[in-house]
Amino acid sequence: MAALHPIERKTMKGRVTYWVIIAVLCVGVPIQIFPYLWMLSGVFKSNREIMRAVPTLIPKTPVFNNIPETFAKYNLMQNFWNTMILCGGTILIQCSISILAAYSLAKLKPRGSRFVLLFFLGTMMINEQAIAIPSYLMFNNFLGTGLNLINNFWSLLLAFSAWGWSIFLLKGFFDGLPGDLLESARIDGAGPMGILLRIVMPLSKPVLAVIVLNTFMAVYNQFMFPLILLPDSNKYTIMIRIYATQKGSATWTNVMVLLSFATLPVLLVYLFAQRYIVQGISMTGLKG
Amino acid sequence: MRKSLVALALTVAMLLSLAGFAGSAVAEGEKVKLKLYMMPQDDVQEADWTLYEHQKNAVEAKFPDVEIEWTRLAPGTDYRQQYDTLLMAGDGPTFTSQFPYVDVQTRLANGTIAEITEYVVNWDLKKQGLVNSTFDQALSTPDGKWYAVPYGPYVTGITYNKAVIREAGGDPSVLPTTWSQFAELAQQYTDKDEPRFGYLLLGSDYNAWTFTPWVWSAGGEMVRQNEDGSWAIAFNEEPGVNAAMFMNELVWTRNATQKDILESYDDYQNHFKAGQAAFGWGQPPDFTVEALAKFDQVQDDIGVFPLPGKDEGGMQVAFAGGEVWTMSPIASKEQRDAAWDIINLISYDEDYLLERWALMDSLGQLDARPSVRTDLVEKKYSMASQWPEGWAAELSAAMAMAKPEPYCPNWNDLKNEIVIPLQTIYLKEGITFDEAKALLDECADRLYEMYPQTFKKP
Amino acid sequence: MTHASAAGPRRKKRGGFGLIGWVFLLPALISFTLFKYYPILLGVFVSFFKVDIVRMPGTFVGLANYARAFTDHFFATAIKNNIEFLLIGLVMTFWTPILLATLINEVRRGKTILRTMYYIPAIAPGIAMMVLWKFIWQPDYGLANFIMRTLGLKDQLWLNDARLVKWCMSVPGLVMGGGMNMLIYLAALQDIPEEQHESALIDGAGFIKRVTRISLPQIMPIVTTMLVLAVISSFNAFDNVMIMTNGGPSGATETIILYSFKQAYFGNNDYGYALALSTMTFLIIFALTALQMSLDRDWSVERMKRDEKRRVRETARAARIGR
Repeated sequence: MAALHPIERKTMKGRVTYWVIIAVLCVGVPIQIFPYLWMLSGVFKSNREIMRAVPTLIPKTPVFNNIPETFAKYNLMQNFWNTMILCGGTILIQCSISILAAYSLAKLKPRGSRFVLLFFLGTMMINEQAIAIPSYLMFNNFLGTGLNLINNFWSLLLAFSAWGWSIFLLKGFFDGLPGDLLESARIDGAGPMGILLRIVMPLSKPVLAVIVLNTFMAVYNQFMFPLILLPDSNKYTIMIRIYATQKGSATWTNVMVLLSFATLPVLLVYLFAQRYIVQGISMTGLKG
Repeated sequence: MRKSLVALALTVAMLLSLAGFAGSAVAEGEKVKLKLYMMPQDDVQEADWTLYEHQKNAVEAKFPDVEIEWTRLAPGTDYRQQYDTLLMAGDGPTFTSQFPYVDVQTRLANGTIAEITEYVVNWDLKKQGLVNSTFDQALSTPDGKWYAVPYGPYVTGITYNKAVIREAGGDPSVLPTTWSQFAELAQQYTDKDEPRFGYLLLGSDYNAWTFTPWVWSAGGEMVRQNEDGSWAIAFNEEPGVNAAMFMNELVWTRNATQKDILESYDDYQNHFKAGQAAFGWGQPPDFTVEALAKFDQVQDDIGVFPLPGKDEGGMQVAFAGGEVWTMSPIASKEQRDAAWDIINLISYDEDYLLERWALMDSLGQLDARPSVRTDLVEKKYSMASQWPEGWAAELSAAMAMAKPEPYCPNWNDLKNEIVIPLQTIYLKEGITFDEAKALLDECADRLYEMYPQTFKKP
Repeated sequence: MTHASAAGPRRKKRGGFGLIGWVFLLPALISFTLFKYYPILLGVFVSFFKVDIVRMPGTFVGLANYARAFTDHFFATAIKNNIEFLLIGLVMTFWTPILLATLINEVRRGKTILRTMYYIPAIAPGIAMMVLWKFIWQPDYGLANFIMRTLGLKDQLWLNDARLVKWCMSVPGLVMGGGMNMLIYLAALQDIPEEQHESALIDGAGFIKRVTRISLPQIMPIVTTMLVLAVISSFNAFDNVMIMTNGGPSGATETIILYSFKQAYFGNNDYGYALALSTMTFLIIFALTALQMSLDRDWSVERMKRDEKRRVRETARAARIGR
């Protein structure tokens, strides 16, 4: 709890301390928000104005065609759908795999499965930067089948299908589910799959929401894997589009439109699901 | 038990994948099959498609026995990386004109291009001396093996934008011929509030590319061959240090360049195309009507001239580079034979070339690259009916003063190595000649130490 | 693992679900084997080769790639840069979320709004923020130099200045990582029982003393964990340098991972050397993550168990009553 006690706030000294804290925090907010405003103001500047040595926060002559121009020039909607396919596919595949495994580890507990959890958690020690290039080599000729999955969404979906963090989180949650509830369903004749779908999943909505959201954020923000595995510009995700555009033939106004466009989905997701994101952080603290 | 199962699974997967690495044999059909990545991307102009169709029809008409798959690299990708990716998967172009000639030695060393000696040594055109031989040393090895033939040389010099110069109150017909004139004009044309830069300095990873001709114009060399065939490093001699100091002068004393030297070459070019610079660095083929139109600029305003000499009467130079034809190392004998014939048609057949240039000219697309057929260079330029006034003369002048990009083994390593000292010198305000020399000396010593086979002190 | 002991009472029922249990585990086993363990082993394997992309994997060279790294001055610079990034990050961005969380924790009314205001900038995609800051630092027409001029100071080169570049690059992290880490510390601070502060208050301890003597020691485990994470992420640095500077100026931001990436993809095709470099970062990070996991487990698992078990039991009870 707060260090400043309610009784203490009645005293002069306590009151001063409290208001100093509030003042400091309020000064910080504009500094924190300002880069966003700067980005937005760039969206409405002309190519000349955005490069002036004396910058303006509010565009002198607002320009509105930067947005349609950028969308047409860089095929942004396609980048957006690519990203959504990857996010959706990863959520589907990765979460299904994780739920099945976590459920098995927490409730079915087949013989020898204790080591399996270690096997899964061990992957949290593997940094993705170290497996990016080997993954590229692997997908270039997938398991010796001659199948080239570079520039194919499957390479990314498969690479993202393993995430130790979500199994860890789910197992912890499933462990806490009361055994007698599951047992009574079993006596009623439900199989493990039935129990999972009809009882465990509905009870796990909060933790599933946390997993889905965090998966979405992680895939949305991914940079190195799509950069290496999907070099075709028709397969670019939004992040790779930003990278390619800002180092390529774009004007800063185009880039500002792109940045705003990339920020919008996460802002929306945050507004609608703020509770689960905050919960995700306080539940585990950290991600692997 | 489980652990051993896991280990087993891993071993099997590893073996499978290694087997995959090995198996990349090319199936031989009755009809020779080739794969060519020449199809233009969707976003190019109509004229490029017309030219592509023309080329495709010509090739198919002449070689009915060859089955060709016309395709293209994935758009937006780095072509070198893409080529290697495809090759690794046992695929890729049977032959290609993508690689700059300075890449050939690196590629032949890592086996990603094929040896084509048998074709080159028996080549009638070459025996008659009709093939551009500027880059020969870079395309072959000292023991007489060949790996590439020329495709498209280019000439790079100082580009200028007449509209920008006029806007800055200058006279575009007065072009600098000495360093001091250049610096004065660049300073005069600069207005950072616009922004308008007198000279666009290329400081990113490619900075050795623009630095090299400045060293030449100072009367020096980047590298110099020793009598025993090894190479001595020369960029740390006085002319090299002078060139680096001159760039520093432009940045700081004259305040005439942009200071964001980390910007990519694409950004750099866009600054120029967008009319934000009076002088830049580039090659005329970059300035197509369409590329300029994006930024409301017109071809008539763009020109090119050789680098000014250091002093009055000093040497003025331009820079020559270019791409070459190479073949895939996994192509079969039959495929290579067919590829060689097609290369000869596309780049060296007089009738075909004349027809193509006429078509290009009618589309307003005739590029400024000299023909690789030495007897047809003048002919090509004489066919340009739509070029802005003065281009042909300017290009010929630049070409006459062009020096080819230095070639020696480890040249690419040298270029990578010099990036850091150059960036340091360009961006350090008030650096002295001795400090700059010390940085370049240090870089040279490191190269001598790292590549003792190639670089030897004279 | 922590939960393994809970299996005890239900052991006898296991037989019935044995096979189906393994079936449920199978997709995950395959996926983790193929896409985590196999790549890292493949990486180690290939790092012993001089790779020939036409005839994979090429020539076996033993430890030559590793030996080369130790004579490669670029690699030495990269390690130095990684360490400098870490130290600058500690000075610039490590302590700010702790301070912020401590302050926000004191707020009585409007806490949620303040927390949101500080957290929102952190959820924007990191890559977008890096590009935005690249624009702000632009030396010719960027905002930073405009502010310098307004304050009557001299223009700086910012990202183009080898001395300043790392500091400039850690500024976006102040905002980006700041919000996220602030939430973590805030959660930890809220766990501190009020009685501890009360008794300290009765002993006459002032506000600052209570924060340093009671709050900070209580959240120390999480601070330690975050420290290890900061070290890990500084050795993994790739996105920010790739986007903001590509390793420049004068090699001042070349990190190990970026250098490894360049070896593989910028014309050299030197996958063997690239993988030797990235394997070395893996070894460093493997050790650090092991350390972090052992530090972190108690804190996060305990907390998760307590919060979630309670909620789940309530939900389950409600469900049962409904039925």
